[in-house]
Amino acid sequence: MAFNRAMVPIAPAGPNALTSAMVGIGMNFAAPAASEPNIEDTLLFASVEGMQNADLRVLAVLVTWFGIHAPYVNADRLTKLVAAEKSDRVRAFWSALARWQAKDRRFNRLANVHSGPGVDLLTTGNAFQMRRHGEDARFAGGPLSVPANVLRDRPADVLPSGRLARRHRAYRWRVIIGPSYRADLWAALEREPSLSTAMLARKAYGSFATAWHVRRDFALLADVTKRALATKRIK
Amino acid sequence: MQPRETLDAFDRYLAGRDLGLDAVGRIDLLRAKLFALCDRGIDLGDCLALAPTAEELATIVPWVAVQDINPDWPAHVRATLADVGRRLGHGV
Repeated sequence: MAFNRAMVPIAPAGPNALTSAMVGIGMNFAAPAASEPNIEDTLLFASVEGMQNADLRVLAVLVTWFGIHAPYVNADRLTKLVAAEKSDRVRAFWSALARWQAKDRRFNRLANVHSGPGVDLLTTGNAFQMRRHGEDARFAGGPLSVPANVLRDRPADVLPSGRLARRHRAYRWRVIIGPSYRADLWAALEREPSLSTAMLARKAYGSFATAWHVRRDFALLADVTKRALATKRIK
Repeated sequence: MQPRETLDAFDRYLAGRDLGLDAVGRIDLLRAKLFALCDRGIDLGDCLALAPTAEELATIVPWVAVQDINPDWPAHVRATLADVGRRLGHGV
């Protein structure tokens, strides 16, 4: 029997919830941080806000974030989410970011989620801004045409990896064991050890089989830790 | 105190004994934001939030159109502000 992963994310309830989720994954907006939001869900909804609702400030910080944290993104899940996205503009955006990060081969499939003619970032005036300022080098040769002056790139707008790892449990586990479903499952279990296997799989978008293995291994280590503590007390 | 809609003028919000507080009027604020939208392209959200009327856009276009000597600027301004009008349902 095959166990499908639950893939479909639940959209944040309103712009304030999205802003808090973005702060929760290390984007420095003036809002309280959501507690450890799912990274790929937040990236997808931020890109929809930027590309569909023309929020270029969000898009600028998102691109900077991706430039810093791409090694810790679950490329498989992000690719599936973006491929299921209806908006051609959103798919073009992610295809462009994947091409920018082409040296990371995990993003090869993401680079191909957009096909067809190129897309202008600005729905009016894009050609004018391109003539005036040239092209943003991060998007050069990709499917999204971005003038150089539009998306500012300030690393201070984004938490560095070390600080984000201290704040976000799943990110920390991704640093330790790699950006995989297993890392997110482990983080979810650490946060809520009483989760059933099915609930754990749903919460972290993992398969039932992977969730089952993570629960088994988590229990094993919990047992080892208990024994070690007991031995210490006897000595 | 409600802001007055004035051209080339400030609205006085507070006139105390030792301190006065002025702010740009609505039309001048719209001019500044719509110019910024045409100039750097990132202010669409703010411009839509300010919701200029069709009449306000028509008033502002000639002013923004002469703020840059680039020969393509006037056409760029007209296209950009027409887009703002369309998004606001003015049928420009």
